[in-house]
Amino acid sequence: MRVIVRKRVVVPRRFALAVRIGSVVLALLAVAVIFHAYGVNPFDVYRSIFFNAFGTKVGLTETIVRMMPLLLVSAGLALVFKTGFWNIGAEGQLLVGAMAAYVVARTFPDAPPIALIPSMFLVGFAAGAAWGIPPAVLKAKLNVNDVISTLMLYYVIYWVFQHLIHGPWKAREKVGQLTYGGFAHTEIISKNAWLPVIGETRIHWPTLVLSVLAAVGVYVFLNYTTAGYEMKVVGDNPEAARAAGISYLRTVTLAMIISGGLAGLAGVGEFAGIQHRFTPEFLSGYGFTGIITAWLGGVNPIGLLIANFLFGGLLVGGQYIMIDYKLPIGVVDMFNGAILFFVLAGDFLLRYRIQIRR
Amino acid sequence: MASEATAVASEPRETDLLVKMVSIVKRFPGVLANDHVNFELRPGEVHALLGENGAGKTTLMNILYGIYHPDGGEIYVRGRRVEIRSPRDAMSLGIGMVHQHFMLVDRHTVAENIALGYAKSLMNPLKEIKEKLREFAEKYGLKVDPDAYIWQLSAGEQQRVEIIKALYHGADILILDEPTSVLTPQETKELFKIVERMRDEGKGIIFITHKLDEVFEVADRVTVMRRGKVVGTLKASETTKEELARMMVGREVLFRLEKERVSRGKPVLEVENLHALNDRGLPAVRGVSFRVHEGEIFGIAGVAGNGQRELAEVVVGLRKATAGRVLIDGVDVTNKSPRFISSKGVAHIPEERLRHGIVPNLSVAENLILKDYYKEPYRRGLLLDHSKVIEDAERLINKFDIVTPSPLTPAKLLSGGNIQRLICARELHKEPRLIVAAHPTYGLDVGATEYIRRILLEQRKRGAAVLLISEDLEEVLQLSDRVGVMFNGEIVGIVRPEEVSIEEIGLMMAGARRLAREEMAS
Repeated sequence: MRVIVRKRVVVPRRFALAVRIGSVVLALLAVAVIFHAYGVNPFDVYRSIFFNAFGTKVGLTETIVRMMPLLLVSAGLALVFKTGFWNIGAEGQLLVGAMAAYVVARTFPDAPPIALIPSMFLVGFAAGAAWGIPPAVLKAKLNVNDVISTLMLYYVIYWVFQHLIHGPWKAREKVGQLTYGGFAHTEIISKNAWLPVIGETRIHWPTLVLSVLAAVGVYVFLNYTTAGYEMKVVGDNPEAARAAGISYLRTVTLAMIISGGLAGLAGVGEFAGIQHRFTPEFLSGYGFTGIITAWLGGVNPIGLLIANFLFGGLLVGGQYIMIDYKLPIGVVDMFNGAILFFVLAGDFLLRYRIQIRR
Repeated sequence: MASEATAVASEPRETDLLVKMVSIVKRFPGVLANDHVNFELRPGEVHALLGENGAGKTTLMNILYGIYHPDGGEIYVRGRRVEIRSPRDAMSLGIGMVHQHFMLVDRHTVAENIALGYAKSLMNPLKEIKEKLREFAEKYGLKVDPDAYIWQLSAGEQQRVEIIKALYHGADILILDEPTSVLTPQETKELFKIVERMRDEGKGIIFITHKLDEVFEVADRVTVMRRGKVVGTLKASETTKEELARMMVGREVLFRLEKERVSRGKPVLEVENLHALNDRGLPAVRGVSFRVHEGEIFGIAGVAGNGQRELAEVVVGLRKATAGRVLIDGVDVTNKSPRFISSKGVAHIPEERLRHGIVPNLSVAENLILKDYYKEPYRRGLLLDHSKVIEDAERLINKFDIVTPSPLTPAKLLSGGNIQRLICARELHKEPRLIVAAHPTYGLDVGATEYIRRILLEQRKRGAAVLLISEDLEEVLQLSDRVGVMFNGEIVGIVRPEEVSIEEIGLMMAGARRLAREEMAS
């Protein structure tokens, strides 16, 4: 028997969709084996995840709360991936955005929300973008590996962040007459900087609006602007791009500004909409999960909405199974890992035909 | 068809045939690459397999060599029915193949490359190999230094290593896939001598080619393929070039393109004492000077790797010159950006059209605006005017006869000839001053080749200057008004094709002859 692998020329749209869905299903089956090994019934677990994420009102709104940052991150990533640049450090860009929002909120605690909130988003975008630019420049000028530089810059900002909340930014607490630094967290920002939410939910609607705009925006940008055209050319054939006079540096830098900036917005939303202060556990991995949803959704608003909604649900439902089935906290990460693994493996099927002969 | 294939000469006994392929069928998505093909090879013959690109020659041979598996048909080797599932099977049946692109490890020596997977003794195989190499050198004239590193060898020598590899494994059926495409005329002659000696030894040689002249020089019989079918098998001594061409293309072909006299105008491209490095940082262009005038095609002949590619890249702005100047219409464009040089009226038909010429996943329409998307009328503020893009694409598709289902079809789905037409359409519709064309017909079939050559001549007539770089010597001589021969980064001679013999150019290409400055054609 022989296995023959050959490059695919055309990928039928339906086949692509089937492979994507099939990958996710296979990932669920693979994780089911592990649930089984833990002695719980995987089908119960999945039913529980589904019910808790989508079956109740609270679950549904929480799913949207999780979807918003994911959508912002993955919209930017889907775009930058189109240029063939691998931004793995969205988590860092998200964190920088959140830190910038904190600085703005702390500096102008008495500014009216109408001025404060837009400024936070603006500065957050700029900060995320700024954190995204160096890897683009390094790659264009010195051919520094993008995967490594973006990922390492996440660690750089992560430890800067840890330093700040353990030191300079640490909240001063009052006990009797004494004021001293207590636990490693910052003070809660002024209410003026809190994002408005919808009713009793935790859905901070400015972020929701921004995230949907981002998903639509990257699609329009890529397909209807000259800058988007340049990104497609650079991503598909950098040599032809060079011959046509398209600057790799400019194109990739712009893509990273958008990607880093959108991740920064996600950070602002998460900080000013949900947490309102920094703790060591501020980050919850949206920057990494966004890589998977960007891959699943592509530069397509519908695709991104579906992928991120489902992943938002998985994050929400995952919390419940940890409690209900006493499963370790790593289970949800394992889910993410398995799904990314299978999606990437499935991509191989999209690019190559595999034939088996005897 | 079978009757034609066997109607030649006296019928040899079945068991005398080295190879007999009967009714071979091979399908690829959307193409019938081999449509009930019959083919046979006798011992002691050179059998040319002639056809345009895409006619199915290489597919058929890849089936014989076990790279592809046929969808139908039977293969007999020395009268025995066989299933060839892999090159390993093929080799054990005594079938060897020398591919168009060599499969050698650059950083290993000749002997080591042969040892790789071929050595029969475990201990010190190199000694045994060197002995064999001496034997082959004597017997067939296959001379190579066993201790030389592959990267030090010329293309011709590397090819010899490939042949030795096959012989070392005991091949007596040898498939040569377009073996002359990388050789100088002298190297080609040597190859033909080697091939003849192997034939006289009783080996069977299958010689894939699309060059008619080679058939008459080296082949005993020829099988012509067109669109996946065998058109016929003939004795080389009993046919003519015209007949073969007709069989190959399916219609009459003009061998002499009408080259009108065009009066030469003022210089468009001036290259002065140009120097440049190659990708490895070594000098590749070393003090090249020449001029190309309006209404003139200036050809650059040379064996691949003698600086032609680097020269073209410097002219269009893709490579930095380390010294010297490039002028377009008197304007110094040395080391300017590709976009600036393009805006001075320089068109570029790049070598490796898939790698440099198109953006494969973008549509034909999007590919057509690659050099103009940032200008009016396509750019509207930040936006791209799609309806204008499509409208102009349709116009160019018609004008340049690009065969595509729609302007929105991804460029990678077009055939090689149509991709080249797409590139021509994009580069030439603005009536450029200078056209830098690198291997413009490489790998194209006869029809597309004819088309591209005609277009270049039309541009010349219009008054464009053309810098033509090609490994196809015949093409250079046929199209050019003057030819510069490059060797080792220098132009060793500038000649007029009508005033020079092919042997003389061959000597220059091999670095054995060099013209003095005053001998050069101006």
